[in-house]
Amino acid sequence: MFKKILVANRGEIAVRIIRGCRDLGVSPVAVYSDADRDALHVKLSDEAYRIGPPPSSESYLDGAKIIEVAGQSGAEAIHPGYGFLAENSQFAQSCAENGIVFIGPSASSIALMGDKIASRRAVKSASVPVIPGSEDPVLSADQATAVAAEIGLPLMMKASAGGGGKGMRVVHEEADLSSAFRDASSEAKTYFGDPTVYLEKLIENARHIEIQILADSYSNCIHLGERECSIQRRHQKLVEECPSPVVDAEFRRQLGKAALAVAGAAHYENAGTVEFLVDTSGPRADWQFYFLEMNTRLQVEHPVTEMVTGVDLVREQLLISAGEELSYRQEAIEMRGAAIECRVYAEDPTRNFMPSPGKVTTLFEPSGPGIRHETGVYEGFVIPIDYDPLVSKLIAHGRNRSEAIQRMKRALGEYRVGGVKTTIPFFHRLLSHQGFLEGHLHTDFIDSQGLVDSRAEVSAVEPLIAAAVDYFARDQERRKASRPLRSLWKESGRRYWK
Amino acid sequence: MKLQARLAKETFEISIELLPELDGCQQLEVTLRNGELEQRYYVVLLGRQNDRWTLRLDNAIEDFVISRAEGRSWVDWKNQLFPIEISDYRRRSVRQTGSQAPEGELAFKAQMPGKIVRMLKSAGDRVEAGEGVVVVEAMKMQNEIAAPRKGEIVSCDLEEGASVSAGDILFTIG
Repeated sequence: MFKKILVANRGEIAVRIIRGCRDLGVSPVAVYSDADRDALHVKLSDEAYRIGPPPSSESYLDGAKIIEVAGQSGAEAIHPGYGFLAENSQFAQSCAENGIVFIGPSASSIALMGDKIASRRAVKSASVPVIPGSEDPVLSADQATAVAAEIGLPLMMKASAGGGGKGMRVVHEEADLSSAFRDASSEAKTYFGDPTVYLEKLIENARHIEIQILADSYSNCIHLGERECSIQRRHQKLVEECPSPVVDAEFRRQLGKAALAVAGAAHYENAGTVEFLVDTSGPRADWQFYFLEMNTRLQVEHPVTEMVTGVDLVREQLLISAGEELSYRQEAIEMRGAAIECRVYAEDPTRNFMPSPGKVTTLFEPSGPGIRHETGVYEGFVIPIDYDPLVSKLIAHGRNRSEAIQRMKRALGEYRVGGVKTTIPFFHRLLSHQGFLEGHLHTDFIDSQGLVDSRAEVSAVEPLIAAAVDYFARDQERRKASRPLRSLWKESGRRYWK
Repeated sequence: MKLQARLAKETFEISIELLPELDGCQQLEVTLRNGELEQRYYVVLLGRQNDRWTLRLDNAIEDFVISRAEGRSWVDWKNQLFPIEISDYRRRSVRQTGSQAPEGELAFKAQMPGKIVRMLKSAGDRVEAGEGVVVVEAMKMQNEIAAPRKGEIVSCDLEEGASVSAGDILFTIG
């Protein structure tokens, strides 16, 4: 095992990886931008190095700088977390060239899966179904129109180098094709440095179900069941579950088999996730699944799988990268109970999830039976405007789905965040929603069920009283603060003018 | 002390009187008036840490987190957020009103710091309500800022790539 690992990330995932290092007796090295001097991942590390100013392009995305710091600190390996450099094949390549182990798959696996057009081809040849769409890049609005005529509307325009909902547009009308093409390719250029886009048929009311896999360098490859990630906004996940409320053992076996075929086609090593779009609108026998993409890294939602299977995914990642064999065989993977994760973002759910950065003035973290809380913030920390506004991930585990949901509700009820608006009120409504409780999920669930509405304008006496008491107390404090000055003036007046 | 509060388009008059301490805790009498309705509550301040309050309202224990932003108090109660405009009768005259733009014109301000990605309109253009005027990128998201109402763009002179701070005027509509 390595002695020292550099964690090339920030926030809750950096904290998670630092903990994973410590659990194996490895010394964690942190990096930080000027916005994160005070961040939790810095406090919890053994060594921490400044890598630049707040913008991620000049800090957490600066691969050369991070490799330089790794050399300086004597770290033998780099864990990229998710986001930033995690799916950058050139970075993985540079690590290898500099004699540093990149904790993740090979540069060529990342490159193949990162190119959505090439990966569609590779997956198709591994006999895994892909969504009908353009085989080649779409280079102009006119070409987009031609392809649209072939595969039909509505469709999805996606960045070839993309992921995480960036550079992605849904097109319902032919008239919107050119503006969608312009926006998607501009966003793709901004985020991924590559404006290439392609088209896929939009599968409506589909579920997003993904399979976690682990592969070592001895050709052992296993899957750890599925995660249901259909609750999304802006094509980004908000709530994830393990297992999916609809997947049975037989369907899990089919999905798992397909995921392993995809991993095989990519000569995959380390932890990865194969995402599928699943059309469950018809009867069970007609369910269709399509390969969506493969994420060649640790996922944000990995804890739900950890809670249900008992496998520590970060530990397995480190062991695989250190050249060890997988600790588990496929038969040893058992799904126990159910887990659910809520991503608590500093966003205003009543204003279309608009980011709400700022100082966290109050933070009370829930705990108790079946609760896990992953965060990179603490009371007094200022959530920087430069990065994703994730406050924490709250995970609940129970014997079954309803117990997990009940525990999640209890934990959310205890959770207090002050100073920034969060998605917690939204989760409350979602977890009480009949359709959600029945498990009828699809990727447009939030919008179609009217769960994003304008600011809830409800009246209640209690908050009015609290606001009044708070106002009264602050007024008293102001008076107290100004009193000594006044009396001092009076005193000196008396002394000199008497 | 007399206060005026607005919540969910309703206005309340609130008066607060300090009562003798109860078991070492501050006790207040709070009277809420909304039109004809008047209700009196006895409030015991059990605890306060930063902006988190524990109050006993009559017999119930209630837990609140109160933050202030956009000129309002945001009361988080039972995982619901209540935006309350609250003011003191004495201070009401000082409260600012309206935007900085001349009358009849509406200035649209940036809600948070960001970067101008694209200007979709320029001064002199007519816009319909809901039509995009400028694309701003904030926290890794591109947001198209739409005209809040029909009119003519009076000023809109930001450059693409320019940084904006919260409160900066993005465009003015006449």
